[in-house]
Amino acid sequence: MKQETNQEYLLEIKDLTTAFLFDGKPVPVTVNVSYGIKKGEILGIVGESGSGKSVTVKSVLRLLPSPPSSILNGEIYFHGQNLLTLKEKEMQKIRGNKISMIFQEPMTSLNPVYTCGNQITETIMLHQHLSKEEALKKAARMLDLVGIPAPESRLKSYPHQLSGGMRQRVMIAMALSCEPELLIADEPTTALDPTIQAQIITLIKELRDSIGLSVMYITHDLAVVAEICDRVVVMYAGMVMEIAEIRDLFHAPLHPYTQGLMQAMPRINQQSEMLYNIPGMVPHATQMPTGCRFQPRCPYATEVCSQACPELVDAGDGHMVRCFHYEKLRKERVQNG
Amino acid sequence: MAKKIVRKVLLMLPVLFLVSIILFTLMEVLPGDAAYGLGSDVSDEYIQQFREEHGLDKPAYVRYLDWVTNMLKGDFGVSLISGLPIIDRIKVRFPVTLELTLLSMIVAVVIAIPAGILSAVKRNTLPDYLTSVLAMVGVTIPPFWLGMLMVLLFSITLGWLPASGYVELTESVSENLTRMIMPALALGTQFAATVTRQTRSAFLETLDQDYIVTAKAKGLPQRVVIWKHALRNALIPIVTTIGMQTGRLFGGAVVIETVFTLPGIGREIVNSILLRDYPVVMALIMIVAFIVIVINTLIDIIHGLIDPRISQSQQR
Ligand SMILES: Nc1ncnc2c1ncn2[C@@H]1O[C@H](COP(=O)(O)OP(=O)(O)O)[C@@H](O)[C@H]1O
Ligand SMILES: [Mg+2]
Repeated sequence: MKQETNQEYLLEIKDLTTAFLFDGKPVPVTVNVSYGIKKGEILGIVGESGSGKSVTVKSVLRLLPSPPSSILNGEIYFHGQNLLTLKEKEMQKIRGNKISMIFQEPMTSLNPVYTCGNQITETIMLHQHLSKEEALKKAARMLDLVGIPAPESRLKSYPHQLSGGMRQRVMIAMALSCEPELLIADEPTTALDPTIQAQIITLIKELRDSIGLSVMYITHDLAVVAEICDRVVVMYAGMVMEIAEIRDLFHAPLHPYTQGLMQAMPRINQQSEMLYNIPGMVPHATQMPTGCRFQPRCPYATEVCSQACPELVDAGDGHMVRCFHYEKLRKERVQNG
Repeated sequence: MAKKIVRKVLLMLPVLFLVSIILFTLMEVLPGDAAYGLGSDVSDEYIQQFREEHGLDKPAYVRYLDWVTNMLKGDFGVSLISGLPIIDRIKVRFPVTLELTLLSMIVAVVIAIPAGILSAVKRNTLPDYLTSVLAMVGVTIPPFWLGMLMVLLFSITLGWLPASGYVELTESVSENLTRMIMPALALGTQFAATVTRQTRSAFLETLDQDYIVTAKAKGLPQRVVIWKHALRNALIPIVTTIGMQTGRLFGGAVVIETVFTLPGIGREIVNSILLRDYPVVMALIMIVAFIVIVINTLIDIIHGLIDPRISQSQQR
């Protein structure tokens, strides 16, 4: 067990267990989630829908309503401070200022009754104490930065006057307006069509390079991960299953779940129309299987898998995996070339 | 925006026209006319003479046109019973009803909206349960019965407030208010309860929206999230409810004015119907209809001010 926060990390989540009330009783939906993000890194968080990706990152900013949610265990370190013990007032100084977040649904994430300018300047004036005029100037600069043409006039637009891609750009501009150190992007392109998706991904990559941003990029799409991430956290049923550098993950995935996700990826030269699918579904929080949570769907499962839950262990060079059989997977890969 | 408002105001005219036709037709198909009100112990010749005198023997369309053109000139005709111009009576009675309804609306809104917000923000806590139960009781309790209970408690048992009568606002504000507060509360309770429930549900729905999470994620304090980001969105259905309930408020005023013997338009309508004083009934109902239409137009205009999406679609 690690005791203190790793200096390497800008933000480190340790043993985070978040619960929701089901039938009046708190049931953990994420269990002992631990991962960290380094400065200037784009960290991918992948996993099927319902894996606990959003719950984990919303816990970081303490955005989950309580009740029904509660954090049963864990620490979240940011600059050596445990965010979970901060007062609400102090937390407000971090949200949107040091750590920003953008969401999956650009169509509904902006307030429909206020102009984009109003919503961006609101953040700027809140955290940076600029005057209205200065804030408007800055907001226009931000819109320009995220590639919105005619920024001054766009400030006067209401969200419904913009397309989904434009709204997501506005969200990004708003999120970056106070020069945060960390941007959490929760499936920011899932609701957008592929061309726009590619533009937004390119934009995020450029911003990382130009302003040295760290990005936590949540997606259920490994193709997106391959495109922008430096390191990847694979989550399943509320647990971290694998953490690896992008190269290692794609060349030598050690968890059967990661393998399954990769086989499910569409390939350009793929002949058949059929996509591979991992059989079964993510189990509900109240109906978790015994032992390893992936065991009922796992082609490698043996008896031991249903008896105990494997630990997240270092399989070498910081490549973390939660599986009893990862050596076997590694060997198979070597044999198959 | 100004253009849109002008258009909305102009749109009131066809509605008023429609109301006048419906009202006139209704009065036509009612059995008997004003002459029936004279009773059975007058001679047939007298009835005949009465009909001619008041133009009741003319064809319906002529009477309708006369009625409308006179109204447009501000002439509502004369009462069949007293023979006095109706407009004079309206001038006296109308302020009473207006004060009663406005007062109950103000009291209701000032209490209901904050109560509904509190209830939603503190969902499933004691304040929420209390508010919800009170609102539930408030919705079901009939205004006239509440009025009578209040009279029983505050006038007869405790002797704090006069049970009936009316003093003009211009005469004495305090005397006026001590007589108006009970009727206003009796009339406004149902209204307030409905608005409270609507505010609660509108707020709960709004607080669940993605942009509320965005607002929190920006670091805004709860105060701003609620009073800026949630309120303006939640107000859209709340304003609609207030608009729809206003019509009911006027209906309720009829009863409340009778309970508290206030000389308002509502009581006047009831009396005139009983006396079959048709010109008065029609004039008063037209006035009430006019007010309800004005309020609905106001609500429409307010909607446009609150929600840019509405004003956009109206531009086309
Ligand atoms: N508001 C909520 N109420 C109850 N359970 C929730 C709520 N939000 C999330 N959960 C539970 O947490 C699990 C993980 O959700 P989430 O983190 O949103 O998944 P992901 O983002 O990976 O798709 C869900 O399967 C669900 O059971
Ligand atoms: Mg999610």
